[in-house]
Amino acid sequence: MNNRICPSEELLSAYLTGCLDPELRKHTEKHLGVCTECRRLIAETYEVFQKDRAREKNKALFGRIKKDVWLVGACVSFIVSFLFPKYFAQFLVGCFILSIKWIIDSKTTKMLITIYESCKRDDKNEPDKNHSHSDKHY
Amino acid sequence: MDTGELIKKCVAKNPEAWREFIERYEDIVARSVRNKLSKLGAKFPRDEFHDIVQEIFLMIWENNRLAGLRDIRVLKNWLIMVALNKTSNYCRRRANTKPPGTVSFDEHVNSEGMLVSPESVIPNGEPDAGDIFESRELRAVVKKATDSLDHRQQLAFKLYVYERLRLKDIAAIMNIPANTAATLVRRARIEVRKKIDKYSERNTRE
Repeated sequence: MNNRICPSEELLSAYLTGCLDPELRKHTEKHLGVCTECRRLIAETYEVFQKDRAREKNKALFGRIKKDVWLVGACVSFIVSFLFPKYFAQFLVGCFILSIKWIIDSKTTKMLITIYESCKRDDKNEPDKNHSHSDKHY
Repeated sequence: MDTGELIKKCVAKNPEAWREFIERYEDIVARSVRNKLSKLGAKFPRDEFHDIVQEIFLMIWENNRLAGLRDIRVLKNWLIMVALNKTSNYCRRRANTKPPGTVSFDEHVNSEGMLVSPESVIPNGEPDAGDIFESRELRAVVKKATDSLDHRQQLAFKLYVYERLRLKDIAAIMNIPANTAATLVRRARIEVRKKIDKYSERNTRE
């Protein structure tokens, strides 16, 4: 290491994150300009951080694909139906089934079904309530 | 659990919080260790690799290093840095504590059973003293030229030349626009080239 005190890991990571005040930033940059070890550490940290970020992005993308797997299947089936005209109808039916599966599986649809079911339940209960109320009245 | 809350509990040495902290950040620490080991060209058995990762968390726990963290935003970068530093220290320590009587693959044993360096076994065209002197002199000229640069130019130039980072990455590290990073590197290169040209002109005249 050079004959100067190197900044702490916390200070270096703050520099890399971009949350240092300008004066401290200037001092850190001056040090990084002359200290090979700190400069290398910063470069390696950045590299690992970027790799991790890319991994997380990929993970999120795969998660989304997994979530919409039925939709992807329907799209693929639709495209394939044009590529193989002989089995056009079969692939189209496949596409239809997969789309229905996607619609049923989607969160919004599930929520709508729940709302519809609760409404239905309320409708069933309401006449009974009215009946009992009228009984009380008379 | 929110990261800030988690860190607070970890500083208070709550075992549950620590379990969650390790679960959450074990991956990134392991990846940092693997990255450093591959950079150093070291190959460790799986057990030893896990030992290093464990040692890092143990060191953070024992020295209560999380208490020194003032900003949670830097946590990930800080963890990577700690892991990289700890791994290089581990490798250095391991190299110094080589069991007696072990022979490295890099070392060779001659017919008398004496250790000889691979350089002495492989014939190489050694540069003459003049070449060495000249390259040393040139290195000194480059060093002088880079040292005379403005601190931002110097950092951008060194990240570009020595660490071989792309301009986009330099911009991200220095928290500046990519165009500014490109300008800094270009100006620094021009400055350094001028100094080297002056040196070579002087040499040809002599």
